[in-house]
Amino acid sequence: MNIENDPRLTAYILGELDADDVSLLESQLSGNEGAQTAIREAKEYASMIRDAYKTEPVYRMTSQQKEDLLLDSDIVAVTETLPDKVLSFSEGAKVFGKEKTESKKINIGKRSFPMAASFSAAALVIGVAVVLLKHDQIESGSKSETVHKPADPFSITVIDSDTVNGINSGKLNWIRRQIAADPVKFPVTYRYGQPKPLNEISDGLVFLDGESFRNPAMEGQRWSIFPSTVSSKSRDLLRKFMMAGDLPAEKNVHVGSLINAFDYDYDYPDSGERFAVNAEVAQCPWDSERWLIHVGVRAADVKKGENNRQLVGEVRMAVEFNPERVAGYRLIGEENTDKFNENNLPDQIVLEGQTVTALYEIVPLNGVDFSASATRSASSELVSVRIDYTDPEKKDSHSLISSVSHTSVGSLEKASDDMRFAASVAGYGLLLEDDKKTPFATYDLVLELAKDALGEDKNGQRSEFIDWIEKTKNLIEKR
Amino acid sequence: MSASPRVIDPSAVLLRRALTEFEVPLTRFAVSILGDIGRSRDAVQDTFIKLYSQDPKTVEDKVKAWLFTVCRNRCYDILRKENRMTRLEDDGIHALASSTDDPAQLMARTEDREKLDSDLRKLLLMIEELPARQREVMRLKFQADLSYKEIGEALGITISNVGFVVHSAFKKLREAINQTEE
Repeated sequence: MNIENDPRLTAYILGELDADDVSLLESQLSGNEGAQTAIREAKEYASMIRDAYKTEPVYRMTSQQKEDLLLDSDIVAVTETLPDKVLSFSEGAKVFGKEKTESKKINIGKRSFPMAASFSAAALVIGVAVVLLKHDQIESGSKSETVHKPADPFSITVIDSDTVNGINSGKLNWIRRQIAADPVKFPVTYRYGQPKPLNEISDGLVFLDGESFRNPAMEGQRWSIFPSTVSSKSRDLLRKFMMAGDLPAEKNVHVGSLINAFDYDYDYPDSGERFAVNAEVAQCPWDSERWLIHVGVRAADVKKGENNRQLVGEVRMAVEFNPERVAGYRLIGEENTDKFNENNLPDQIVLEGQTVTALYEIVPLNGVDFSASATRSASSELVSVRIDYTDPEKKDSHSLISSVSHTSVGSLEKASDDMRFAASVAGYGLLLEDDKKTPFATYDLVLELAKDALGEDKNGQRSEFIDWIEKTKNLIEKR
Repeated sequence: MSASPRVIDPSAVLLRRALTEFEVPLTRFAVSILGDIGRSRDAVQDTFIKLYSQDPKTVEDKVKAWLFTVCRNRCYDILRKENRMTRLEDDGIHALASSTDDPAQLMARTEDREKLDSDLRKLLLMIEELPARQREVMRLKFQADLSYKEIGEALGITISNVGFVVHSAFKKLREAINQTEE
């Protein structure tokens, strides 16, 4: 069989085969080294083609056209309970609340929405005001707070005393997320010199064993923005599977969220500071050629004393990699999250006292010894962590830069419990996703890492996780 | 007032989220058909206006395919109305001729067309030299990230047909890239 001429192979590379066909094809290809090489190459070509399209100009409508689309509509939405989300295209979901919308929907919106009737193709004008009401407050409706995007008519009015007074900050956060309020527009500056323009095919990525790493020397790849919104959802989901004695399918595992769903013992910032950055570098437990950078951020807990604020209005957390030290990097568990743009990042909400964790796998530049001491200058740094945020009250922007040099480098045995635990969760997640992808990671290895990283384990999360690794190991052995 | 009021007017929310996610890929797609930004913008705006008039329940689980289908139809309407099927027809003829071309010729023509120092730009030109159907499918797959199924819906062809077109175009590009590297 000449597999290279088979459309199934292209479909496989593009993730278009269903699970049955994937297993069939993989069994046919196992041991066929020529085909494996062809697959690796084809994946590189696919990413080149994607990159080629990215060189096209970014076309949009004019701002006037967009404004015409968004202006002046008045939609009233009433809710009592907090929906998880309004819509998610990517999952093809139809969620307007925890239950089906049809159930108890009332049609205030359409009826009190004159634009719907006077809809005209020439000038459709829409803006959105979502009103969150508590049932018994509909009559009084005295308190209100409006969340709006600057330079955008899309706004939400909240009439709910709990939300307005900050008691139910979750609801306010939810609203902000729905309308992508507070997009982040921070300048991009480079600490380690200008990156090279991306003009060579495949220069942008470093390929290793079929995995792609971003190359910090190239334009658009110097920075990596990591998500700062965290929740315990992925851990809760995993718990459900474990209690049912079952393994989650790959699509149910999001390693980045899972790492962030656990508590970490990071230092709090000094008084007056908004964030503290704890960074460590150690050899990657599942690949001796690579290193792990563990970035742990702790937000200040200002709740005490002061009255219920949101902590920051807009935030962007990012790592800049020094191209003189780092040949390639990837953010573990977020490989498929290509949506973060350097200039615009909505949806980032940080709560008081929250921790954010990012774990990077990095490939050192040839001949660079991370742990060797060097004179202290910007060029001797491995990476720097930068947090940009705006103060929600004063509306001014701030940047916090924290550099990571050779002094943060150590062996994994000497690393903090937090780092070893995060590495264990990362390894475990990667194994669940695809146990062939990281050949040197094993359940025994991650189990050992986690057992050595118990720390105080105040809420028992880490012990519970150790149970899960053992359960998973047993389930896999039984298969 | 019912006992458990909820979020209403999903139409506006749908429009809002669709704009955030698809404005740029749709406009790029329209430019690839119409060849100029002004008319492309109008086609995209028309598409979103039409989306807003839909019952969200019927489109929300296939918004992406819906948008690309409607936008594509709108673009071809514009071309037809203005009696300017030139680009499409030219390409149609061209496609017949070039589909049997060997990669070397393909590459030579590309180089004649414009002096471009960037390999990625060259690759983009190679893609643009593909037959019309392949070009459209490649763009939907690799730029707009539509699935085979969504592409099939947008173009009114079967999934296996989409797979075949992608495979042929992909193979041709790989050969052309290899040719330039040697």
